[in-house]
This record gives sequence, C-alpha cells and structure tokens, in this order.
Amino acid sequence: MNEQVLQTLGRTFGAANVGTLRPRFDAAPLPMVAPSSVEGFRAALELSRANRWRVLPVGLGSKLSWAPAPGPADFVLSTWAYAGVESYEPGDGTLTARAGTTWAELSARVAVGGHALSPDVPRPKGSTLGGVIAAGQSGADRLRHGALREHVLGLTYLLSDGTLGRCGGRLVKNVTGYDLQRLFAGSHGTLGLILEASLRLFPLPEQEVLASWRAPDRGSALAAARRLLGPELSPWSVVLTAHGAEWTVHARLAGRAESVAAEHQALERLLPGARCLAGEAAGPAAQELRDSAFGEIDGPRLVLQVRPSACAVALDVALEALAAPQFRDSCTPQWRCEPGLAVIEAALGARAHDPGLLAALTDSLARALAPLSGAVRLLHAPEGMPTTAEAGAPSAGLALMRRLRRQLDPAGTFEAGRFLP
Amino acid sequence: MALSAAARRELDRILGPRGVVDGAVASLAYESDGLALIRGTPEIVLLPRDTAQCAAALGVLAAEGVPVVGRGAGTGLSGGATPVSGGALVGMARMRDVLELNLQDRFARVQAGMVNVDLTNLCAKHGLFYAPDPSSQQACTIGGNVGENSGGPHCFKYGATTRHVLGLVIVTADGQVLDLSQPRLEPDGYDLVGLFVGSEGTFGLATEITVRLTRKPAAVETLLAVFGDLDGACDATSDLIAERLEPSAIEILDRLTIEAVEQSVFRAGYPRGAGAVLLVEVEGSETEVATTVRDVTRIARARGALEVRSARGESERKKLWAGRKGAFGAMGRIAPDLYVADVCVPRTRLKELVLAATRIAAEKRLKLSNVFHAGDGNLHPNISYDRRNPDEVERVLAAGREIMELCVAAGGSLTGEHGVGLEKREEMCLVYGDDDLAVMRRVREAWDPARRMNPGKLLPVRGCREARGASLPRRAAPDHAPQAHGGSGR
Ligand SMILES: Cc1cc2nc3c(=O)[nH]c(=O)nc-3n(C[C@H](O)[C@H](O)[C@H](O)COP(=O)(O)OP(=O)(O)OC[C@H]3O[C@@H](n4cnc5c(N)ncnc54)[C@H](O)[C@@H]3O)c2cc1C
Repeated sequence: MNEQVLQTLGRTFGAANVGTLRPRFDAAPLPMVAPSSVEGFRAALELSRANRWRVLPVGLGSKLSWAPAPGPADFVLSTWAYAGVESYEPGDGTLTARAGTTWAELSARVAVGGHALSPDVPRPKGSTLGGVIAAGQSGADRLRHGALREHVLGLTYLLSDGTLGRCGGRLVKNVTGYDLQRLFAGSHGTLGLILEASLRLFPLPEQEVLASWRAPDRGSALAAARRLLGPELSPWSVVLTAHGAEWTVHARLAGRAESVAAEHQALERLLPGARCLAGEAAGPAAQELRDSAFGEIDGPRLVLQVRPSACAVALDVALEALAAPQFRDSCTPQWRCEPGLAVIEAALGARAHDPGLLAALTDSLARALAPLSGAVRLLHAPEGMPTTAEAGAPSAGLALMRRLRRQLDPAGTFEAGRFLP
Repeated sequence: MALSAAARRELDRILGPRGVVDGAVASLAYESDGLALIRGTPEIVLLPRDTAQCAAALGVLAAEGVPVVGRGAGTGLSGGATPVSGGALVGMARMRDVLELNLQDRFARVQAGMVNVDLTNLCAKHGLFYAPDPSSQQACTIGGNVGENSGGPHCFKYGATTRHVLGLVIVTADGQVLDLSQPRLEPDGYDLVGLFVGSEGTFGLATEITVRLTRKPAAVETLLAVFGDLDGACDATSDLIAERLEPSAIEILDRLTIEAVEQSVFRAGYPRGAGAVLLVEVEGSETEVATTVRDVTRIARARGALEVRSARGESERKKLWAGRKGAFGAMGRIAPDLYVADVCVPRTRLKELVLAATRIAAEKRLKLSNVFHAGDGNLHPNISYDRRNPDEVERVLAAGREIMELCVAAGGSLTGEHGVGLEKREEMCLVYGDDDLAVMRRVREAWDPARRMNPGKLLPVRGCREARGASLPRRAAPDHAPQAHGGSGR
C-alpha cells in the first residue's frame, strides 16, 4: 500500500477515517476514504488532482469486478457514508436519495407507502443506490419493468475537476436537456461520482407466487419457459437454473391480488406439477434464489446475451464450448438463464483462473454468437486477461466514448484503464 | 456562409435532382416547424435517400463549415427544426423505408423519415404495435420522435420514445457513420443510444432506427369519466396515481376543448356541457382490466364524476381517441392560432397548477384550454390567439413564461415532451445552473466539436449568471439569426 497516499489522506480526513479496501479478490488493498459530505468528496478529489492520483469510486465495492479490471488506482473513494433518503413522494411515485443508501434501506422505506424498487437486486444490504446505477445492473424483473437505466429520473454528480452537476429531475416525464443520466448509468464510475439519484417507483405487489418446476431435461425446461412467456401471463421473472444436467424453471408472479390469483391458475395449467409458494413465503424465497445465483465471488462469471429467439441455440453453443476438454477440468459451470430476456450466465468456479484459457473461451463464444447479435462478457475476470476479451469491450463508438470520457474527466482521475480498452 | 460552387455541384451529384432544393421553394416550405413564431431561411435543403447519401452530404457540408439542421416532418413545437440562416436543412422526407421487420424478436429497423403511424399500421396485422403515440402521429416521423424523445397518451404505461429505441445508425457532423443498430439488451460500453435520444439534432442525425415492437394486450377497455369541472378530473388523477393503479393512459380534456372537438370533424361523442372528461384506457389480462376498471370507476365517482362509462366496442374506442388526438387541430375553430405550452409537474399538484394557469390566462385576458397527459403530470395549457394582434401575442408569450416559471417553482420541468429547441433554451436557466449546462456543452462537444449540428438550439447561448444580470430576454433570437417574424404563430 502506498504510504504517502495513506498519510496524506490521514492528514486531511483524520487517520481514523481512512480504511482500506481490496478492489478485487486477487488484488492488494488500497487506502479508502468515505466522506459524508460534498465538501469531503471535493477535498478528496482536490488531493487527487494535486498529486495526480487515480481514484477508484465505489459504493460498497460489491460490483467492482463487473467491468474490466480497474487500472492502477491510488485510493478508493466510497460513497457509503453519504447516505439517506432526500425525499420519498408516495403521491407521485418517486424517490430521491443519496448514493450511499443501501438498496435494502430504500426498499424498506418505499414499501411503507406501497411502492417497490426495480431492479430486484441480489444482496440488497450490500448494494448501494449509486453502485447499482453505476454498474447498470438490471434484474430478472426487467421482464416486467424494463431496464434500470429507464427508471433513473435524474442525478447529481461530481466530476473530477470538482464540478457539482445535475441532470434530469424528479419527475416521471421530462425532456429538459440531455439525458445524461443514461450516460452515467452503467458507466462504472469512469465519468464521475454519482452523489444522488431519483428513481421511478413501482407498485408493491399485493400478492406473489413463486413456482418452481424440475424439468426432465433442458429442452423441456426451455419449452416450459416459452409457455410462461406467452400472452397468457405477465410474469415478474422467469429464470432457469441448472445443477449438472438437471434444469429447474422458476417463475415469479406478482401484482394485484386478483390478477395473481388468475395467473396462478393459468400457471398451474401451463406448468402442471410445479411447486408453488404463495403469500408471505414467496418474497423471501425469491430473494434467496437471487442471492444464491450470485454467490460470493467464486471465480469468473460468463454472461451471454442474444436475441430472444436465439436463446436455445446460444445455450447449446455455450454448453458445448464449456464441455470441450480444455475447459472441462478447470471450469465447473453453474448455469442460469433468463429466456425472456435471452441472458445466459455461467459461474465458472474458483478453478477457472487461467487468463489465456478464459480469453480463448470468450473469443470463441463471441465469434460463434456474432450472427445471433450476441454479446459476451466476463465478470470477475482474473487479472492479466487481454483487454479485447474483457467484459463488455465495446466495438462501435469507441472513439466517441473516449471523447466523452476526456470531456468529463480530462485528467483521467477516474481510472483511465477501466471499462474502455 | 455561402456554399462554394464546387460543393454545390458535389451535393447535386450525391443527392440527384430530387435531393436538393433551394431558392424560394426551400425558404417557404421549410421556414419553420410547428412553432411558427420563429422562422428562418435555409441556404439549401437536402433530402437524402439513405444513410450513405446523408453521410456523403454531411461530409461536404463539414468541409465547408456549414451548419446543419435535421428535420423530420416539422411538427415539432419548440423550434427544433427552425432553419439557421446560411445553414443546410437535411430533411428525412425521402427516407421512409422499412429495413427489417423481425416478428419473432419483436423489433423493426426503419429509416428515420418513416411516419409514426405507418409503423404501427405495418405491424398491426401481426398483433404488434409501436407504443409511443404522439397526438401528431399521423404526420411526425420516428426520427423526429427520437430527436425530441416524444411521448403520447399511452406513454403513461409504456414510457416515452427512449424506452423503445433499441439501436440507431447515426451520421455525425463530420459525415461519419456510427452504427449502433444491433438491438442489444445492454449497451456495449456507454449507452450512446440512450444519450442520443432527446438530443434534438445537436449530436448528429439518426438515419436508421431500431425500435421495440410491443405485443397487443389480451384485453382493452376505454373509460370516459364525465366531470362538472376540471378540479374533479385532476383530483381523480392524483388519486389514481396515489393508489398506484396502472392503466395505460390517463388524459384530461376541459370544457373548451370538448366543445371544439365536438364541433369539428373529430367529433367523438364527448358530452357537451361537461366541465371536463377523464379518458382512461386500461390494458392487460381480463382480470387485470376488470379490477382496474372497477377501481378507476370508484375513484372517479368519489371525486364527483357525473357519469363513468366504457366505450362500447372498437369503433367507439377509436372515436374517443381520435377526438383526443385531433384536439389541437380542432382548436383552430376557436381562434386562428394556438400556443401549446408543455410543462410537467408532480402529480400531487395537478389541480393547483392547472388552476394557476387558468388564473394567469384570465389576468391577461386570454382564452385558455386544457388537453393533457394527466397521468404523467404533463400539462398542455393551450392559449388561443390571433397572430395579427401584436398586443395579444405579447400577452400570450408573457403568460407562457409565467406558467413555466410557476411550474418550475412547484418542482416541475420546462418541458415534458416537446423539447427545449429555440423556444425554451434561455429558460434552461430556470432549471439548471451554469455548471450543469457547462457539462451538457462538454458532452455535446464530444459528439460535435465544431458545434455545427443544430446550433443555437437546446442550450442557452449566454451563461445564466450573465443572463440573469441582464434580465432574461423573453424570446432570444437564435445566434445563427433566423428572422423572428414577431407575432406569428401556429
Ligand atoms: C398537433 C400536434 C400534436 C402533437 N402531439 C404531441 C404529443 O402528443 N407528444 C409529443 O411528444 N409531441 C407532440 N407534438 C410535437 C411533435 O409532433 C413531436 O415533437 C414530434 O416528435 C416531431 O416529429 P417531426 O418528425 O415533426 O420532427 P421535427 O419537428 O422535424 O424535428 C424535431 C427535432 O428533432 C430533430 N430531428 C428530426 N429528425 C431527426 C433525425 N433523423 N435525427 C436527429 N434529429 C432529428 C430536429 O432537428 C428537431 O430538433 C405534437 C405536435 C403537433 C403539431
């Protein structure tokens, strides 16, 4: 750890207020400060400018490895201490809160007024508002609600040069000025620090049903999912999981009591033999399913996206690729698939840490899926992966993205090496 | 900034005889958009046939340093497509092709000049529709919708244009083609497509647009709740939102609008003499529709609705909507010109702000009507006037500005769907500070470093502090100087 950085931060923020954070499971810890005021963030950025230090912005650090490995950073700037709800407007269905507030806290707050947040995130106690937005994380409930970036109504952000800016607002409809919130959502902290955000809220379901059905094989699981995604139901989420060759279909129905009751009946017809949890038990069970799918960081995670009609084909391709001899020994994939959104994920296991092998895997999958509009990303990639094969390496618009970055963060304070190759 | 003869020849070669318009025809047909208060004369009008032509033409204009204004159908209401003098207007009128229709994955790729309603008609027989439905959908283009991030009645449920744009092909200021047309769930890198939507032609021109198509719902019901006054309709809307009901559209028409519609070709069967009607559409499964209809009816009655009825069958449903969508046109019966204001407010304060707008208009001796997207808090206080009366025009503009200021002070926004354009660019300072706007300028310069795309639109020309010091001019002339033909209007 850089002693000079540690000491300088200590002098400004008080030694007791400087902690450490390991930016990746396989990296050395970095000094970390977590200011609780805008002035504090400004002071930290001023230090970084004066000393040409690179800053890694985080919430609670749970999604750091969702983008390509951060380049060398000198310290971590966390928003977790900048927390609290600014305003919850139950009559207007909107929420404005500081970036460090946890998703769990926000959910609890708006539930009182009959509202829910989207996305349904795994481990909501360990996720902050700013982090969820910066990671661009949508959940399986996207099927029903759309993508997270569509629900961000406005932001307050702090740029590395100390500019405190605002975009959008707190209203559900608004076209005043550029939609910079769309630029910040999913930018992984590379443009600036998100300090505050306003979200659109959704009705809290009155009733829920979580159905699970063990399919005899993958083909029947996919066929069952297709039935559930047809015009008869509008499920909150439909997820397939696999343990070995055994596939399970999980469907969540949620909404107004009468509608869910009717949908429940239809589901029993479409998915005979499904085990259904209803009422109080369904919500926690669905959360558990999300949490277990995104387990503690246990190695790289492969994420494939294709057109919905190509989901089954893409799954075949991916299964076949990972069954090849060179991967069979090092990868122990746990599969998860959202057929309605055509997202396929495989947690590859702790032994999958050879950068060369993983690069070959992602490259070959990217080539195979290109005709299906496929995109391949590798989250929690080990250090040393060549950049082109890394998570979400953009193809079109790269030069423009670099210009955008340079415009908002000319000094490259927010991790020049991260996100954009 | 006249075009060189060589450049002119090059444009003729690229676009052919039908692709270049100039002289008197150009200045007359393209002098303004739907905001006829401000007009300009383009140096030349270019009508490319496809992306390649558009890119080649923009390359020529870049070399000449000529400003570029994009234009769809010119129905915009904030002056976004007003020509800048000495500049080129690039129209999408000859780019109306469907490039791909994918029924399985429910998306379409179309050229930017495709008319909104044509897209919905195209996929209707497949049980699909394109959700954003501006009232101008019979004329406006998908490209213009992208430019403004347009909304419409059904955007209450489905969201505005940005939620339905999956990909774009963009021609940038220097004539380069940026192909972001792959319909991806998540963007690769920054969300350039999301950032582009609503940029009002200041980042580049969208030439091809990939849009999401939506499956028609299993059941639909359209309710008409009749109120003695506007207050009851506003209160009922606030209650619907507070109860978290999810119809697909919640619209209000007031007495004056009802009368105008009922006397026009759009006659819909709205009850004459009613103070206001609330038009609510409910879509979804049979059960969903039945329960929501029950609750909407209960709320409307509790707020004093004199009658709540359902449209009997598809033809009555269509008529009720045609009346709503024809309302602006129907207002032509009341006075020659109509000033359409567009502001958004928190949905807890609908009644109060509609009342305030009425008061402001009355104080200024103006005729105000209301027809608006109530569910989204998107007010359209419309002022009928006669452009030949300069004193009245002054009062209209003053009222428009006062309404805007009041809504902003109440936590509202400058515009809900019509955009900033020329009309509201100086008022951006009511909502944002110099720092916020400076960052928007920086973002704009990443796309268009020379600031040649639609110059003088969306962003204020002067700093807010400076402008406040000098007291804001009511309607500043754009810096590329279209002539402000004071006192004319839509
Ligand atoms: C009667 C009436 C009713 C209306 N109702 C609604 C409504 O319900 N909801 C609503 O949102 N609006 C409404 N409008 C406003 C207007 O119709 C919309 O803003 C519409 O999207 C404009 O489309 P257009 O093709 O006419 O675009 P134009 O007016 O030609 O252009 C609009 C803006 O987009 C830019 N632009 C145009 N094409 C492109 C392109 N290909 N690439 C990049 N930029 C481009 C232009 O430079 C300009 O800034 C209404 C207007 C009228 C006259």
